[in-house]
Amino acid sequence: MDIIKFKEKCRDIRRIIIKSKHRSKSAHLGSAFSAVELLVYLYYDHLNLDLTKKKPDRDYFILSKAHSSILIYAILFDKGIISKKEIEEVDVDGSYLGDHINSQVEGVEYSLGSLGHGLSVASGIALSSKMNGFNNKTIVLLGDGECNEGMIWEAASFAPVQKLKNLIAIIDYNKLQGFGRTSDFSDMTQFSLRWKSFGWNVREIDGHNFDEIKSALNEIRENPDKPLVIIAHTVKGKGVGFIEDKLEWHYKSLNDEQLQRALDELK
Amino acid sequence: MRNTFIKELTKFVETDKNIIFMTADLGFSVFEEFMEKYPNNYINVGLAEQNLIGVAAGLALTGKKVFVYSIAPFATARCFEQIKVNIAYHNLDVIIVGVGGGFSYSKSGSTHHAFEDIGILRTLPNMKILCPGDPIEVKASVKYAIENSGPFYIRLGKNKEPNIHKEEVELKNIISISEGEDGIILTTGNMLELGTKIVEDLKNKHGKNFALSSCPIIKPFDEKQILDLLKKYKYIFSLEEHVKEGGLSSLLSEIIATSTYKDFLFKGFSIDHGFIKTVGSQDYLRDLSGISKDKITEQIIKILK
Repeated sequence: MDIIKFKEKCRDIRRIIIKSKHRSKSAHLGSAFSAVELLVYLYYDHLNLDLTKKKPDRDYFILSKAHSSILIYAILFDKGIISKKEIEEVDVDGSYLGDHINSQVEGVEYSLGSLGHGLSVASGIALSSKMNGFNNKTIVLLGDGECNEGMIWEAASFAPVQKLKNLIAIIDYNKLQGFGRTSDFSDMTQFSLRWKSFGWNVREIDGHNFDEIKSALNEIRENPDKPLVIIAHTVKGKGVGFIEDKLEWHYKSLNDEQLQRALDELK
Repeated sequence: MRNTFIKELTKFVETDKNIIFMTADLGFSVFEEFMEKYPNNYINVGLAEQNLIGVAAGLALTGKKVFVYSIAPFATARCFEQIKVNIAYHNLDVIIVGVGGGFSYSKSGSTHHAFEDIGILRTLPNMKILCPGDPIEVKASVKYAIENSGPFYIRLGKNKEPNIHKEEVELKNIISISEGEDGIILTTGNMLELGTKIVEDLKNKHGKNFALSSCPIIKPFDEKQILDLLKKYKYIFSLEEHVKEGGLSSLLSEIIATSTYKDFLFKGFSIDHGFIKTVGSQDYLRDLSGISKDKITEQIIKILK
C-alpha cells in the first residue's frame, strides 16, 4: 500500500463512519476517528488476516477500546465482509452491530466493552501462539484513558516476563477521555517510561503518519524477545476540523448540516 | 481436596497437553511437582487475578482448556467482571478452581472467607458450578469439567477432608450417601462431613432416621429431582457453608416455590452472621454463624417436635 492509496482509504473509512454515526445518532465518533490511520494500515497492509477465523496461525486483532467498534465495522464493510444492509443497521433493534465490538459480527475476534480487558486477552492469545510455535502476531488497540484501569498494568507486567515478542499493543493516545483530559487523571509526562520500566519495547509515533506507523510496526526492536508498545500520538476526531480535539465529540451525534460540512471536508 | 485436585489434573495433563494450569501465586508445597513435570502447561501470573482470567480467556479462545486457581474469594469476587465478560459471555473452556470455600481459611479473616461465591457466579449465563463434598467428588468434578465444555467454577474446601463416599462416584446433582425415612438432609461442598455427623446424632441421640445426600453440581440443576424429593420426604433440610442468598438454600427455595405439592417442610441452614470480625477455627466460625453440628441438630429437633 502506498501513501496515496492509504490517504484515500482513510478518507473512505471516515466517510463510512460519519454516515453511520449520523444515522445511528450514537456516541464515540471522536474515538473512532483518532485511530483511523492506525487501523487502516493494520487491516489493509500489515495483518495476515483470516476474517473467517479458521486458520489458527492467523494474526489476531483485539479492539480493547471497544467503543471504537464502528471503525472495525466500516473496514469490514469496505472489505465486503459486512453487507450494506448491516452497516446501515448499526444500533437498530436486533442488529449485532452496536456501540461496542461484537464477535457475532463476521471477522471480529472478540467481544468487549468494559475497558481494560483487551491487553490480558491479547496476552493469552499471544501466549497460546507461542506455545503452539506459530509465527503470527497479536495486536491490541488500547485507549489512553483506558490505561487508567488497573488490569492494564497487571497485563503490562505479565507480557514482558513471558517474553511475548509476538504481542503488540498500540495506544491511541488522543489525550482526551470520558470526562476530561487524560493528563487530568494520570501523570502522562512519563507515560512511555512507564511502559519501558515494565520491560516493553516502546515506540512513540505520530499515529496519523503512514511512514511512522509502518516503521514502528516493522522495525527491529531493541529487545527482540519482548513485546512492543506503540504510543501513537493522535487527535481525537481527526479529519474533521470542528470535531477535532473536543471532548463533546465523545458523545455528540451529527445533525444534517454538520454531516454535510464533515463530508465536504472529507472529499 | 486441593491435593486430590492437582493429582487428578496431573493425570489428565499426562495424556492431554492442551490442558493449561494457571495460578495467581498460590500453591506452595502443592504444585511443585506439577510445575517441574509439566513446565509448558504451568503458568503463575503472580498476584493479578484480573489478568489471570483475561489471559486464560485468550488461551481458551485459541483452543486451550485452562484451569485457573486461587483462594476462592480472589478467584471469584476479585475478578467477577473478567469472569463475566472474558469467559462466561464467550462461553470459553476455563475452569476456575477456588480453594477455601466458606470458612476454610478461617483464621485469615473475612477477606479470605468465601461466603458469597456461589451466589454471584450462579447469576452468570453459561457458568456451571461444582461444589464437591469430599476428595472422591473432587476427582469426579475434575473429570466432569474436562469432559464437558464451557466455563466452570469448582469450589474446593482446603485440605484433609475425609472421603465420605466408599467408592468412585459419577457426578450428579444429588448423590445419595445413606437412606432414611424421617426426612432428608442435602449438603453441598465441604458440609458433607458435617451432614454425616448430624445424621448420626439424629439417629443415635434422637431416634430419627434421616437420609443424607450430597449436591456437588449446583448449576445446572435438574429441578425435577428436587420436586420428586418433596413427595418422598416430609422434612427437607439443606446445609451449606455459604450465605442463604444465592446458595443451596436459595436454589432449593426457588425450585420448591414452583411446587403445587405442599405437604412437606423445608429449611435451609446457611451462614447467618454479618462480617465476622473475630478470629477462630472453622468449627468455631460455623458455630458462631449457626451452622455447627450442635446448632443445626438442635434446630432440626425443634422443628420435628
